[in-house]
Amino acid sequence: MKHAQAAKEFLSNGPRTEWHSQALWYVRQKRDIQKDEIGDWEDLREQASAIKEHTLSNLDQYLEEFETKAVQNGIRVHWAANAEEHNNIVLEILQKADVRKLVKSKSMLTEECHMNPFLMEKGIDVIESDLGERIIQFADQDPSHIVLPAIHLKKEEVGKLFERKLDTESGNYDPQYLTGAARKHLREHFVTAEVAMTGVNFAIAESGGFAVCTNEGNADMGVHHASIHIASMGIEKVIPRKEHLAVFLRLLARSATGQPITTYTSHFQKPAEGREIHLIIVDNGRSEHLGKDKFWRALKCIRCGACLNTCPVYRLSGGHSYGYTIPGPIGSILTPRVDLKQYSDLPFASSLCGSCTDVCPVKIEIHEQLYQWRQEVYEQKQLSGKKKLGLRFMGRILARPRLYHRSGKFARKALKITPRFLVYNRLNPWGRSRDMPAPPKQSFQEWYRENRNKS
Amino acid sequence: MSKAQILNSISKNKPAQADLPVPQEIRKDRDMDLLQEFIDKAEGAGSDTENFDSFVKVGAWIKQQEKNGKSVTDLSQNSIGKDHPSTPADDDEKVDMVVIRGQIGVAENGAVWIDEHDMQIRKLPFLTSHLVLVLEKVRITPDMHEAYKRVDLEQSGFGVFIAGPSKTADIEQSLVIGAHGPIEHTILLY
Repeated sequence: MKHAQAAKEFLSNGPRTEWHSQALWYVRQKRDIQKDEIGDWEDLREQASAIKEHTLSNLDQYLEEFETKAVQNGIRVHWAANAEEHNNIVLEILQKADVRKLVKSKSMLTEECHMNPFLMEKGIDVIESDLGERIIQFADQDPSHIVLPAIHLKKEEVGKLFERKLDTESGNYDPQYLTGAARKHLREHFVTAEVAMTGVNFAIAESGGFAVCTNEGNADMGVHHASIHIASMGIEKVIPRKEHLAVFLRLLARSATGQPITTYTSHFQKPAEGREIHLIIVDNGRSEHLGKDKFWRALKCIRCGACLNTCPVYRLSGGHSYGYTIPGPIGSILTPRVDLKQYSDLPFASSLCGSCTDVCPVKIEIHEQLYQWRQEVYEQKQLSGKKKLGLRFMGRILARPRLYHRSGKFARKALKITPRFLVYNRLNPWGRSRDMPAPPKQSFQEWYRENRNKS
Repeated sequence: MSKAQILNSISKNKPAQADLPVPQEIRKDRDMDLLQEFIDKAEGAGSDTENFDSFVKVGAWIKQQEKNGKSVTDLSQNSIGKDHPSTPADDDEKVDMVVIRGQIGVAENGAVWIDEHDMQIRKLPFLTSHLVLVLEKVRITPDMHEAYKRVDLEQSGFGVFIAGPSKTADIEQSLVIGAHGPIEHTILLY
């Protein structure tokens, strides 16, 4: 389904859409408070952006440096060119250990690789342990937000889900109570975990370790109980040195949830005595993206979700309407490289207001890339028929000044006298939920001609 | 095989060399009251703080908890960054309270750094329902930049910054303290 259609369905429940929008705006406001509290926010963004650009321009060297150090630390490093290789590596580790359960914490990369359905088909029980992820796993849905996976669900819906899955009291929708029930339920999985999985927020080249940020403590509860820890990272997660962690960690949680730092920032350096850490470095199209002159800077992303929270289109259409693992503005500039044909409408799911660019902690010029992707969609001939027709029509008029003046004059008169059903019809999808502006009496040029000699 | 393929693709596609930035001089307000800032931020993250004038009084506070009937795993006598001679208990159900010495406190966010030597067993600080961190006031640094100058990542296999008790807001953005880790978090300053 295309974004506009899915968004229309999301918008059909007005009060609920407003509730969704406000919940996200609240997070955006918390972010603003945190950013204003430290005096050097803009300097930090500059630093973060420059460190990422430097790293990406030397990515092969940093990955090799990281691998060498990680192996010295006793971490087993695997490389996966695509999702399929990644999923098979995970399966092999599980099979070799003869383990049929995987306790995992949040990872957008495993979502991108569709790892859970793959493993489940092979008979592996996959337990998502982040509360939001567990909720949507129970609901058999995809996350609708990269940091707040269940932001689209109401507590009553979560309560009813828990009644079925966790046998909680009927009609008790108190978040405290429901969280307590999930805590008890997941603790049983943590203490029996043999293999646990996490994502990676930052991998440090100079020391060969990696950092994982969580609030719930689920990543640590899983991996410290398990004898095997599997961590998956995209190639763009590496940073050169320890000191750079300071820059990114100061930005990440403030941007994501409006906290000065997440509750836990865990640094995995070596496996504990008698245990294993496996790290999978995944490409899955990223190295190719790196070669796209106008678009490679999207790989600076640290997955904070700030651009989602601030986006008027995301807030009013919901994460599922984008039809891809990573929704919102950042998703719309990452997905076209995955499949331009399938996601050709996503660069248009934006008002180009630029708020995403303003809040991005690593200074990705998101709205400019959205605009560039629109050109790309046109050049690759993936524009929808109606849009192409409209653009061609407007293009002709705008390229011919005399035709433009005549058309303007005509439209100003015509709009006034044309019956409503002729203006708002199937050929005008824009007018479906919007009124055309009231036609002005004269154009600016006409006004200027009349007034230029008055002083 | 995939490794070579990935690295080749990167070296073919990577953008023109960009230099690392010169680290900026961060945080102009260095004359702030570090202790007060740390306490404010720690409490903002959901921590309780206690301010003592000696380590002896810290010990008395811990003893009192045991007298109140809690099962306490007390690692506060460890010297920082060194293994304790005895292995602490880590029975999943019985660890009411774990006391660990912190190496560094961060004023800008209330986080405390501990590593594997301090916690002995990696799961201890996550497993317990009440984590208590003991921190010398002189070990408070203004921000993460200063903190990382003192953190030695290669000194142990695992280290963590902890700011407050575990928490979640995954149900309708309602903050709930006590997700999967500790429900209570206390910092004893001396």
